[in-house]
Amino acid sequence: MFSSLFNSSKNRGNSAFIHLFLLAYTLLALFPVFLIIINAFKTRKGIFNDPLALPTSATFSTKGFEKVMANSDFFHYFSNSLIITLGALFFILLLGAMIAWALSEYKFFGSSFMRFFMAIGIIVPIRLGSVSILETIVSLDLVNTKTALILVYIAQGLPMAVFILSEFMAQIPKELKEAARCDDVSEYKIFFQIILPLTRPAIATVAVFSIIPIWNDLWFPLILAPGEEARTVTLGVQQFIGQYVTDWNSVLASLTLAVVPVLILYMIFSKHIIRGLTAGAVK
Amino acid sequence: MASVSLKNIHKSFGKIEVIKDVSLEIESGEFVVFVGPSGCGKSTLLRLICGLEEITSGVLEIGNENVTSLSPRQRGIAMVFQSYALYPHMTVYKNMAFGLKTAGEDKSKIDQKIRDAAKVLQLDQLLNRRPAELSGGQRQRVAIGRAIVREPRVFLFDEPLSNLDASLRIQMRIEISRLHESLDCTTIYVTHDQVEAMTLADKIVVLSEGKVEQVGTPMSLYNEPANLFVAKFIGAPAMNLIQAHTKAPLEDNEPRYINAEISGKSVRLPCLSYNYKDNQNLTVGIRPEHINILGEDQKTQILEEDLQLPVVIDLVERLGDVSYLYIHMEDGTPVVVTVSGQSKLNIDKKINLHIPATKIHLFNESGERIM
Ligand SMILES: Nc1ncnc2c1ncn2[C@@H]1O[C@H](COP(=O)(O)OP(=O)(O)O)[C@@H](O)[C@H]1O
Ligand SMILES: [Mg+2]
Repeated sequence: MFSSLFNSSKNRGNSAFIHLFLLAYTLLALFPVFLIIINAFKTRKGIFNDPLALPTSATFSTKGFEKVMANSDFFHYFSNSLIITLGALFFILLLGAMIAWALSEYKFFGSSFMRFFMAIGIIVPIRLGSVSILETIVSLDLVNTKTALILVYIAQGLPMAVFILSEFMAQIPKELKEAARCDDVSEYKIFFQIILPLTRPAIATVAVFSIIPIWNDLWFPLILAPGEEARTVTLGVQQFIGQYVTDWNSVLASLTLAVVPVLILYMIFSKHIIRGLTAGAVK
Repeated sequence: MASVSLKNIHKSFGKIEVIKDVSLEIESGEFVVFVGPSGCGKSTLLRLICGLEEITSGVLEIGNENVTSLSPRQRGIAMVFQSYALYPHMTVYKNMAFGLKTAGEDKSKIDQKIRDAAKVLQLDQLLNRRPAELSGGQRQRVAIGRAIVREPRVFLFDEPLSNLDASLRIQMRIEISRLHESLDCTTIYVTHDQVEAMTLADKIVVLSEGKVEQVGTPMSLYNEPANLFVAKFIGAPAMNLIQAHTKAPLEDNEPRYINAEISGKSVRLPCLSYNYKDNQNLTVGIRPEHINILGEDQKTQILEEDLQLPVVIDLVERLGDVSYLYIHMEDGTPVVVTVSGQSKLNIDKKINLHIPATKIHLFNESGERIM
């Protein structure tokens, strides 16, 4: 879509403008992250004297990281976040792809209601249902568990995943599945070995869209799993933020560390996204 | 290998009836071609046989077994699609193996089958490539290979050559023909190209608007088209059709002939049997190669009932081996004449056409053949 815009010579001036705009936006978006990272490597004094300065030999310090690393709880929170995010992501992608395939391929009783139901899930923010979600989790006896968070995040991510994936699946030529059906290939094998591989770019897109809100979420960990056992990084960081004293070194260091896994996951998936966007053009 | 039998097959999409009461017997090992103009329901009929579309009413039998309500999987067929429908993320080898592995066959046996098919189709060097790295003709071969390795009871082809360029099309046509000779498997082949139909088929089924117009060998369709539609569709350049109408007096004592008028001229047309009245419309059909030009060909023998028409040449096309003369008659009816060799005739020349009575096709008012 964009690549064709950039390639045509007619739009070269136009594309320079778009690039400039996107560059400006990128700088703006990255600035806070940049601030967090540079200040994570400064002494407390350095942070407060000049928050915008890069660390110098006088202000450089890894005290925050040392403190965070020494704090064994942090790794516990970190692994909680990772398990919850990856667990939810796995089910969002698997179930999302399955629902999308079912809705776009089969007519069954209640399929149009199901589609409508998923659309509502996109429109209505899940936080509106916090009270009843809490009630449900309490009655399931899942308070303060990772399972509770995983379940809620699956519900949060599914509608959008189904929407994007079913749009994408509708574009897969129907002859492919018809050929497979003639070839005596089972419906499961058609889904897992033809549809899923061909949907990979869309799945990567959905993965990236889904990871960030889950990893960054503070709301549901706070109300569903505030206990020590299932505490996530975002919630764990709060322990450094006191009512009277805030340990900025540790806060910034842990936030810096928290960016790393998201960055890695993004890099894994983005390779496929870019491939997906260019697939149609190159063909 | 199996016979296929269609009994009163109907297919409707919503309220629109696309296939109207098609009955057909296809013998085991036969190569049958469905031919007809675009949109006449050829693909739909093939998809009904395949099981990709549900039959609205009627009975379909494959190998004397009623398969009307079976899924494509259970019918023992293999289909080659117009768009090839190769799995883009799999290599040629995997494309062919995909359906077989599912059937739970032994690995070395599968491997042998694929290598055999690849050899026949000259794909041995390409087994590790992906479809995107193949040319159109090679993709087509992979699609055929994928069908062959399954050893189906019936092969189904839906316009398999229409995405290829002209020279490749002829080459693949010959390969398909050869393949059928060696496999001897029942084959149903759909095309809108009458040349493909004529060259490949044991039996042609001409379809129009969801109905069977005629079934027969290529030569029987060419020599004795059952109606105007088939007459127009089979043969290139198409059969010339000239309007005529019956004229009194009716000759009861000589039922082999009817009197008619063509472009103002009274003629006697040979006729098998025709219960005619005065002033009925008729269509006279004559193939371009059956028309002679008087004075050009010395050997022409003119019989009493033959037609002779004075005309003027509009256009001459010379292809080297044959020439086409485009002509119009006095009433404006266009006529094409094929003459062998490189015609010396030129535009605006007045000539006399000679139409041998024995070569005439005669169709009644509703388009059915009467001679
Ligand atoms: N799935 C469908 N739904 C509705 N109409 C269809 C469908 N498939 C085919 N048709 C209609 O049936 C007619 C025959 O189509 P088709 O069999 O594809 O023709 P052909 O292959 O001879 O060109 C066309 O008029 C087409 O619009
Ligand atoms: Mg078709």
